[in-house]
Amino acid sequence: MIQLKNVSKTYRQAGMVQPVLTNINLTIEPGEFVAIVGPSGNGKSTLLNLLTGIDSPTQGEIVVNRSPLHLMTHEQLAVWRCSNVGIVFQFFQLLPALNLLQNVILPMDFLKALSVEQRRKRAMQLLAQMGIAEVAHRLPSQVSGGQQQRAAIARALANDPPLLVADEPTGNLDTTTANNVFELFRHLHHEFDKTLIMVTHNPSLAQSASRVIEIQKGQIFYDRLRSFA
Amino acid sequence: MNILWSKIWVDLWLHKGRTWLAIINMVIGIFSVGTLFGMIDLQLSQMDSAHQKSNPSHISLLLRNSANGEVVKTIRALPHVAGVEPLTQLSVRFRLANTSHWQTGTLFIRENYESQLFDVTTLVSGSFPSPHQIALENLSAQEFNPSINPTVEFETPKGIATFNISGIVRHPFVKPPKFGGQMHFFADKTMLETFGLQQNSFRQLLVQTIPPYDLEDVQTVARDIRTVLNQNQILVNATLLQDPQQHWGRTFLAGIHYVLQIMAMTALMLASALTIKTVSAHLIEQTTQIGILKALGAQTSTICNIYLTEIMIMAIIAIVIAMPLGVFMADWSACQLLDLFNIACIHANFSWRAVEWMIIGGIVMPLLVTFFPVLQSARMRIHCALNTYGLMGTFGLNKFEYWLNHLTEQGLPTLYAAAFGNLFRSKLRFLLTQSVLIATCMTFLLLTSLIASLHLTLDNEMARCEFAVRLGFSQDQSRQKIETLINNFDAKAQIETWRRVPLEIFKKGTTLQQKGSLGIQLLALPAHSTMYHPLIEKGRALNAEDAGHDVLIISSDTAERNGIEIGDNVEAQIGNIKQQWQIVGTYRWLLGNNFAVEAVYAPLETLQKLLPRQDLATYALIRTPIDNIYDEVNYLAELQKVFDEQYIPFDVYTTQGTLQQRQFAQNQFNAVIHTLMGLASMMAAIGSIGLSGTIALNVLQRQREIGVLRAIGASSKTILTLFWFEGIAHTILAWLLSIPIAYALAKPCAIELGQIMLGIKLDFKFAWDATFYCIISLLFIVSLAAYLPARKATKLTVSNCLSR
Repeated sequence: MIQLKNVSKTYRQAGMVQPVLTNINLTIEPGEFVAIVGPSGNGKSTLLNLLTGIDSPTQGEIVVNRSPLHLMTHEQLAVWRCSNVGIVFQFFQLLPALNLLQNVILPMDFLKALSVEQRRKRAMQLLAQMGIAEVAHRLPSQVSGGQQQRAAIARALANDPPLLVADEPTGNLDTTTANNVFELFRHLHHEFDKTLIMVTHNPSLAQSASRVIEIQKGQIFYDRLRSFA
Repeated sequence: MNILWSKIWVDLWLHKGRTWLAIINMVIGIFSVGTLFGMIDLQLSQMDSAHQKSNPSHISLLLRNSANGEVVKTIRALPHVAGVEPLTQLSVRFRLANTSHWQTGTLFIRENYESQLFDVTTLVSGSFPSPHQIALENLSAQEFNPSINPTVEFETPKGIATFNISGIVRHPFVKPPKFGGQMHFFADKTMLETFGLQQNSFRQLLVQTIPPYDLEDVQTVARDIRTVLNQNQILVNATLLQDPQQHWGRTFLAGIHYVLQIMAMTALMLASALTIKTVSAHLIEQTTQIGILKALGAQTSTICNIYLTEIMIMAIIAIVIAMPLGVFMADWSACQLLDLFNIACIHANFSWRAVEWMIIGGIVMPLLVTFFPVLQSARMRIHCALNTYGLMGTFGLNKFEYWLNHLTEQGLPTLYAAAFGNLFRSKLRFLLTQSVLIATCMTFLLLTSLIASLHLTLDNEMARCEFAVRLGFSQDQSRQKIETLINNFDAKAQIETWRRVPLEIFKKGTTLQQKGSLGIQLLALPAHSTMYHPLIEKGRALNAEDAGHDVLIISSDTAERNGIEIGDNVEAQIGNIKQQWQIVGTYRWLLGNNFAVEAVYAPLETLQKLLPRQDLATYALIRTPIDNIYDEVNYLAELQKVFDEQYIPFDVYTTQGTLQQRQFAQNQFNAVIHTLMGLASMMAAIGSIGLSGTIALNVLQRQREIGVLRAIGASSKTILTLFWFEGIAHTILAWLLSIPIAYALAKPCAIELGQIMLGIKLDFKFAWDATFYCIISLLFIVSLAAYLPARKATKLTVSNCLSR
């Protein structure tokens, strides 16, 4: 379960305090598929960064699966993220010097929960599930944007984290590829029962989520659960 | 302010770390050329100026026995002789008052200090010596505090005599005690009798020839003077020729200066390489901005102007920092070295050449070397400049990178594979860093091989000395008497005696041009000598069959200078005897660049036939078991007591033990070795700065990547390892590449540098052990150099990294 209590985030710019998020209270249950929407610059990505421990709140408490993120150091957060969160970025952010398979193995190397052979086997399985096993040994520069994003998703799943976070994962893809990637997320949500939080600008994709939270001017503008027939 | 100027200042200010890195790189180059060129110029100009002020003699002859006023008059009357000043130089035994430790020193006796003609001694403090007083030489005074020791005791034929010190004087031509030179004292002519010499007798002649100075003319005059002395049965121990314009110390410094100038230029080149690297990193980061500026209508020239102006500003700051430092260090180090040569330093001087090089190194070089990368960036197409996003994933577009990834995938964990792949992501930076590291490693190996070759040469030379101690006598002595004295002292000693006589050698009536700066002497050793044979480079060594035959072995340099081949005949004059000799071999002369008498080897048996007294010896070589230098010094000291009791004085310049001789030879090499070690250290420092800069730039440029790694769970240790491993991988790669290059270049370089710096052909040895020391020390330096930027990477927060 994810809980945010009275969370605020401000930035100091040129001597001025700039509020980005104000007094956010939010609870996300395990297994939910949450889409966070809203205009640019209103705090969506900041909220995501707070949920993943990438950024820390100026005020308030954030507890993710019983871990108090607001009390943890950067070092503790890095170790926590390794086993608890999988992150998918808009620009894929695969390490260019590693091929797709190595990129997926990398978080497992950090965690060291599996043997070297098991890491390799799991990485290949994940790439196969993403439908890109045949390009596993190619470098990011040698594959398409859609394939890079699939590899980035496989990397996010590498350590089997309960929480999967994606920041505009389809923002840099053409419509067809974006739809395929989104379908993949939905499939993951159903298949693996992960908590999935996604920032998106795409209204039709957002409507596919089980819950939609709209952020406007640093506050939750609406928070609606959707039921699927 | 013009908007573009604002951009320039903001760029420099926003990227302060990189701006300072570029400035520091430039400062290294400017400071190095400024200091080294400035030091060399200041030192040489002040040395020459001091030399000219001393009104140097053109010819200085050290006599083995005394000349009188009549002989001096005859020499004055010779053609081309402008003036002669006679004086006396003696080896004396002295001790400080109330101590029991006797030492050997040199006493100069001059007729009148107020009317000196040549090699003028100047007063530093107190007064010139009056009767029964002595003055102390300036460098000796630094070792021997005259305020604490106002009197000195001397051994004289009439017993121990005590003299007051009248003052301190500066002599233009003495070896510093720090470098093994003796203490030097000065007295007036009343002291001649005290030391058992006749009034109006002289042991040294200073001669000037009629201007202009011409080396060949001076050599002819020196030969004519020696002929006059010969006719008067006066033997010459050494002849020194001096250029009146150039200080005698230039010979010693030529090699070191040569290395220092290479060092300065190398530092400038490496600093330029580091500057290109830093500027290129800046340009890469500015790619998007360049694209935007071009999209807004900026021309290539405008973009070039912006970035070249930034470089110009950094260069001006670098000059402002480095120039005063360089000028100060040049002045300071020149003064330190001038002090060694007994020259009072005149501050507030500077070298125009150094200033010119600092401007070239500071402004022209950075602009020149960065022009191409700036132009390349400025000419980039807009769509190329604007389409960079994510982690700049251009790696893997060629077969090499693909192969590299395949290779690392097989053998390395993903983190190390990433670090290894990252090495090759920026080709230019990779090449520049590798160039700097390879240059560092290669120079280190070249220098250590040169040092190893110097040691090997010295060891080989010493290995031929199969005696423990050589005794040299001020006057030739009866061989039988010497052997008896030595055997009574040491029954186990094996003895071989040699004879030394002055000689002139002519080829087709012309005096040979010789390498020896103190003239040439015949060294007659038994043809079957078991104690020593010089290293033969051409022809053969003397053997038992040569006894009684007119055969000579001369130095290879002299043979080369005069076009003498093995088997050629030359005419040699010994005293009044002139006859033909055949050259059967040439030898390598170690330390021939320094002030030394050049030896010509001949069979002792032949010389004995020619000279009236056959039983005389100049040297006694003793073979006896001595293990260390302390035993050797004690052995010589005890032996000296035995000979002193018989009034047979040793010649301080030629009496020494083999181990001591090795130490002296080593000391001669040390100046060069220390300079080379300094150069190696400087190269290591530049290499580590270069690598540290590369890692720092990697951290600056790959902050987004650091953020991603942090976001997917990398700990600080992981990030530290990643960047540290890159530094290590760079180093190991450079090390591996530098070994074959150094191996190929070491031999020709060592031989060439040995020739330039020491005037000898070195026995070559590649320093294989240094390859190990090289990687160990480089890994150590690199670990330190990479640590700071790598640690900085661990301090970056994920949100800051990803927001870039």
